[in-house]
Amino acid sequence: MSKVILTADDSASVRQMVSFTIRDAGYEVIEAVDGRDALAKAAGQTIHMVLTDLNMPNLDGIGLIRELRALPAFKFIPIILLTTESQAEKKMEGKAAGATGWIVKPFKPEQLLAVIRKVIG
Amino acid sequence: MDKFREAFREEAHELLAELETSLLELEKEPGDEDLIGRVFRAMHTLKGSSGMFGFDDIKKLTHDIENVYDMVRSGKMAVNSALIDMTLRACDEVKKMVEAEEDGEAVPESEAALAISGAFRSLLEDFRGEAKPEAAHDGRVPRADEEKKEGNAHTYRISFRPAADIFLSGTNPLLLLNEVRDLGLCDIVARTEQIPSLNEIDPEACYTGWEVMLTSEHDINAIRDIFIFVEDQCTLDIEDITDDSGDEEAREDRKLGEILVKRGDISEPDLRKILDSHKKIGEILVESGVVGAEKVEIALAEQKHVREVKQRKQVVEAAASIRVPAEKLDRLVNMVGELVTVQSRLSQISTQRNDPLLIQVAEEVERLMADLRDNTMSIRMLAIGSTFSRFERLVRDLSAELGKDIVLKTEGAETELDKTVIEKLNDPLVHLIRNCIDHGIEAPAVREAAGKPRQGTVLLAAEHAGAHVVITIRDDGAGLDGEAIRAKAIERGIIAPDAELSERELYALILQPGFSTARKVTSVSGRGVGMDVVKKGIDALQGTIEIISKKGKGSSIILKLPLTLAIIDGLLVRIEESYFIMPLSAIEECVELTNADIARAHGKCIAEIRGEIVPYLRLRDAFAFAGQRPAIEQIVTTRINGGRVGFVVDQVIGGHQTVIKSMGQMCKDIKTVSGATILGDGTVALILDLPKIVEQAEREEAVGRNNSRY
Amino acid sequence: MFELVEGERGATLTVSGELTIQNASVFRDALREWVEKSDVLHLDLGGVTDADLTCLQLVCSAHRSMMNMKKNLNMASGLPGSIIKTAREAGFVREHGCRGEESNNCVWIIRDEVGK
Repeated sequence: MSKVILTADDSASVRQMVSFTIRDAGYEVIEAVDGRDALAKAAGQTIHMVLTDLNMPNLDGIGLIRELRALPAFKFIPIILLTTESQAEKKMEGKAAGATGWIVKPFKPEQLLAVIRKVIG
Repeated sequence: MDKFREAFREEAHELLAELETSLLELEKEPGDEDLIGRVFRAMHTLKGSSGMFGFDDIKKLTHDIENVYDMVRSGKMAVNSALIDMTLRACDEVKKMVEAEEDGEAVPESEAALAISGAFRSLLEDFRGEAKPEAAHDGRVPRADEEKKEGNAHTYRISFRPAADIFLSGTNPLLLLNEVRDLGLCDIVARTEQIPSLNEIDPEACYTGWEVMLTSEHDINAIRDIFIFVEDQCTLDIEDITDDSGDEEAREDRKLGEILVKRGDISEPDLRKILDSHKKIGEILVESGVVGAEKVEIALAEQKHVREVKQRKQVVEAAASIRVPAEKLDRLVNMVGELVTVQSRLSQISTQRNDPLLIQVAEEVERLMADLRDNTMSIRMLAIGSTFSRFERLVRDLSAELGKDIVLKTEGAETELDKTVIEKLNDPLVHLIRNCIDHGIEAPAVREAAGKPRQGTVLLAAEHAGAHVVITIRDDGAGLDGEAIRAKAIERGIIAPDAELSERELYALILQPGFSTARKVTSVSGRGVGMDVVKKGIDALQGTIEIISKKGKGSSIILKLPLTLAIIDGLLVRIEESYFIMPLSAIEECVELTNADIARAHGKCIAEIRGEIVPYLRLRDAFAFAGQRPAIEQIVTTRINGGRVGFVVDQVIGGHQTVIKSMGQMCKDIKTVSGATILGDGTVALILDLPKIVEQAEREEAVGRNNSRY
Repeated sequence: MFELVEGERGATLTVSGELTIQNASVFRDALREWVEKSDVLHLDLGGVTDADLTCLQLVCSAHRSMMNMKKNLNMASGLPGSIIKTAREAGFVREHGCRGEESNNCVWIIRDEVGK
């Protein structure tokens, strides 16, 4: 059974690149356009990992992490924050909210996969 | 990546349009937080994606703007029409950049863009006072491709204790340990002493810490990078304990007690007290409660680790090698060849002189020479495995092309063969494997119908057999169809319609030029030229081919090759005063040929050997010797192209291992001789190319007697 | 996923399924209850398909709790591959137990039948 990764990003091109990369590596992908969408799609699903952008309309990355961590099924699931280098303090905020780690944009597909392997093996 | 770039362009246009609308609205309602947020996010997304897809100029420009709007968003800066104006101009620049990329031009960084960038930056600086060092935390981002540190392996002692609430961040510390394992030789011991009893334990907390011994070529930063996500959620100590002093013995076998002292787990006086009794130190320490059992366990792991590192080092040192150009080796082999010749002359002379002292020296030289020769030859030997691995790709690609499911298995990849033999073996093997895939193994559906697994197997195996290497290419395909081969051979005029052939001879027919059983020409095995090319290739290597096949079960093609081309095992024969070498690989037996035998055959060149009629040819005729043949000659029977042929010589002298010397340019047109060698007394002996002699004889006969064989 | 059978020679707690952090609290509760009630507890983890660090910690904890109470925890039917694999990864497998003289009772002394 392949692992399921939920990815939330408001940029269609980043979403496409992320989905393509991780699907190609054999994972299943659920795409969401922002935090609220992600939260809706996460409900009732078995999800092994979450990749979320930081800045999104409706519900941003930090908000999404807080909401997810409050759900029993997402208490211990790895959540990776996609940030840009100008958001160092956001990284810390993300960690405080319960993020497992982060990946700095721009990143290459192999860097993304390295981080995924790092947190879900 | 290009299709992502395309997606980005579309997205950029949308974002820019949205930006414009938001900016114009913002101009009217400068305090609207929602609008500010929208502008910021659009800039942010533009920046993020442009960087991702290689639009670096856009990224640079939007980066500065994003920073300004971040200030605006946090209320540190107010929106005014100048800012809106500047941002709108920036949007135009970005649009130009996106479009320019669309046209495929390289865009020089426009002055306008630089000016806008600069303006935004100065805005920022005005407000911030001084640029804050924001990249402080970004010094180390996880790198996918960490570079190995130059030079030798280092040994690290790593202590890692995650915070109790580590699981709440979605971190699995065991995955981190596995990453450490991937860096090199690693021993990990958990520290469990903090795990409380069931009444006190929080089942979702982490109570475990780890002591890791790692020997790796990666540097300390590569290890730290593994823990980058948890660096504020754990205590992590990494100590490089590599011993650079080079004094191996002193450190490698450090006693357990010393390790404990060094780790600070026990004091020196305590250790000495314990050493005075005579039990195993580990047990005593634990029993006496001086050191916790776990600490002993960890020290033991360290001891074991260091021993293992030492062992590996020795293995590596043993495997150390040097590279030399192949031509140097060739020269060495050549010289050894000459030396062998000189040595056998020395032996011969010493026997003739019958001088005990000289004989003693000659024998000594002979023994050393044999060692020298074997050693030199072994330098040229390479494992055949490197060739084997190349075929895996071939099998994969070809079977995919033909819609077949085939796996290649190899055995004996470590079998060593002379470098030149390996090189020349490549083409024949490619042909043979192609044949297996194309003609041998059936389509998956056909296999299933025949009750075989869908996946066909091609086995490529090599093994030593005396001075030869036997290479087997076996498939579990359809096998050869003997009747079809016979029919085709008759059709092609290769055999007579009434010819009686053994199974082996029948199969050997497919090696004949122009023979092909494939129903159609495919790109894989070509037009039926494959097998005779193989045959030529193997002949050139002084090897033989045997084909075994069972209809429906598969076929095996067995190649027998000499270990090296530099030396051959030959049979030394004589005609009048000339000596010749016949390669031993093809020879079956030697029998006498008397005048009576010749008379019985009514002038035909055939002899009856063990009830079988064997055609022969006289080498003295082939080489046009003028003298009289002796009353009793000898026939050396050989198997050439699946048939038996005898060669008549004056005398068979015996087996002779010889170093092959090439004949030089002058003689390159003489096909019937493949080389020469120098005998012990300095005489030259020619090495015969038997199949070529047969060919030539057949040609001459055909010219003379028009189209009948033998 | 938990089943308890009381026999003459002590109770047997049979656990199956995933012993990961999601189930850690339930596992702890089951262990606590039966460690309290039994003098000899046989713990049969043969049906455990997946285990993580929390599972290893709880097994250690149960073992320690019972030793402190001078009771006996006995691992029935050997450890399943899932737990052995995790124990190796986590560096729990060892030569000697953590209690000196009671060393040989340690759950994590796994002799190398299968190699690493």
